[in-house]
Order: sequence, then C-alpha cells, then structure tokens
Amino acid sequence: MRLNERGFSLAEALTGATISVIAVMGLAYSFGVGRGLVNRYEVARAALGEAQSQLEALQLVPRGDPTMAVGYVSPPIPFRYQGASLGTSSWRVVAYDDPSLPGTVNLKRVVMTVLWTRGAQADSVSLERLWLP
Amino acid sequence: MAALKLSRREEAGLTLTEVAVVMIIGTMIMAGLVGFYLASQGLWLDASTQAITQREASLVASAIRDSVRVANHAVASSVPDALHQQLALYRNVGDLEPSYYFWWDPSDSLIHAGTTIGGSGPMVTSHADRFQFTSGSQAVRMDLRLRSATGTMVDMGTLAVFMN
Repeated sequence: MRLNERGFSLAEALTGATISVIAVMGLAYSFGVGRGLVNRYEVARAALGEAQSQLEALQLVPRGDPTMAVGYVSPPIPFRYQGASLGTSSWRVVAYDDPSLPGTVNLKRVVMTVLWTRGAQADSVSLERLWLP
Repeated sequence: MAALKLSRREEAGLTLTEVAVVMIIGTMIMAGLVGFYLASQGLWLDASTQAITQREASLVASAIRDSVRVANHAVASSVPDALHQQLALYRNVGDLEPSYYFWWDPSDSLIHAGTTIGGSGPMVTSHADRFQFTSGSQAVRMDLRLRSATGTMVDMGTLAVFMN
C-alpha cells in the first residue's frame, strides 16, 4: 500500500534539488566567464589599436633610420589604457624574402607586439607589416 | 462517534499549516530564481552593450584612419567644445574646401561623418564623451571615449598618417 503512494520521496527531492543547483551554478559560471572575456577583449582591442598606431607612426621614420634596420629591436614603450599602465609595446625588424622579387632580403617585416597583464592574466597581440627596404 | 472521528482524520487534502509552509518555501525558491534571472540578465546586458560599444569604437577609429590616409592635410577645431572636436580633411594640397568631416553633434551626443556638416546620420549608436584630435603636418591623432547603453566607458585612440 505504501509503495503505491503518490508523490516524491525525500531522496528524489534531494536528487532533483542537487541537479537543479548544479545546473544553475553552471549557468551562473558561464555568465561570469562571458563577462570576463568581454573585459579581456576590451584591453585586447585597445592593444590592437595601439599596435596599429605605432606601426602607422613608423611610416614617418626615414627609410635609412637605424630603428628600421633589419635586426633592430626597439626598447619597450609603455602601453596605457584608461589612465593605467598595463604593459609595453615594442617592435622588431626582420628580413623578409618575397620569392616574386629579386634578391634574398627584398623586404623588411616589422613586427609590433603589445604585451600586457590584467589581474593574473598575461596577454599579447602582434601585428606585422611589410616595408620596402 | 469514533467512526466519524476516524473518517475526518483520513480526509484527503492539506491543512492550512501545510499550505502555508509550502507557499513560504515556494515563494523563497521563486524569489531566488527571479533574483538570479534578473542578475544574469543585467550581467548579460552589460556585457553585450559593452562589446557593441567596443566594436563601435574600433569602427570609428578604422574609418578615421582610412579617411586620413587618403587626405593631404587636416584641420582640427574645438567645435562645439574642446572635449568634442571636429576634424576637416582636405584631399589635395591646394584645396580650399574640406572633402570630408568627422564631428560630434551636441543634439544627439553621437559621432557623425560626411562630406558636409549635418549632411549625414550618426556613424555609431554609442554616445561619445570625448572626441578629440591632434592634427600635425604629417599625421592626425584621435582620442575617443564612448559610453555604452549601461554607462560603461570604452576608450580608443589611433594615429593615422596622411598619404596623399
């Protein structure tokens, strides 16, 4: 007679509640992770803008300048965002061989790298552009 | 009399106390769920509007960079104020009239761009708290601060070189 009784047992209710809590916690965790990624890519976007600006500014450097010679590595430049210094940017110049052009070092590849740390997360973004020697 | 008492005790249904306890527990659970839902919705809304504003800041920076590259020189003026400036781009060296403008409209607090002032709609939907330029003989520096719909600030800066 007791076996046919309708309703839930305590064990069933506890199991259901535990599964629900795990599902809700998982959902809350995913929201938190999503928010963190938005914050992370906010700085990444600003760093990309910084790299683009630095590469653009290098176009004003004369071609024969030693800072644009193959093998040059620039000293780090502070990378600031919203008033805070988050990291550094720097560039290096490496030789580039375009097979369609004569010679072995016919272009220069300028690699601009922005490094930053926010919280415990270290991140970086690199942007490259080819230069005529 | 004994039979009557027994039948009342076995009557199906819930007592007022049982109903009250169930309702209190149910209300507490529902309040928790609704609170969680609203907090999650707020978090999601804040994150998504911030992401939209970040994209819009990048779009403005990219559009300004592209326009400056095809220009010969530019004039930045504090119109309507020093925090919200206007950039006039000139295509060729002897041009008397600008070929393109970027400006902040005080009537909607949005950034506009076009060949004539007031001649086009806003570029983006986020309000600009700062839109400043530093124009030199070889390049233009732009500093931008957009405000998302939920009030989050997004900064963006860019430098573009005249190539015409």
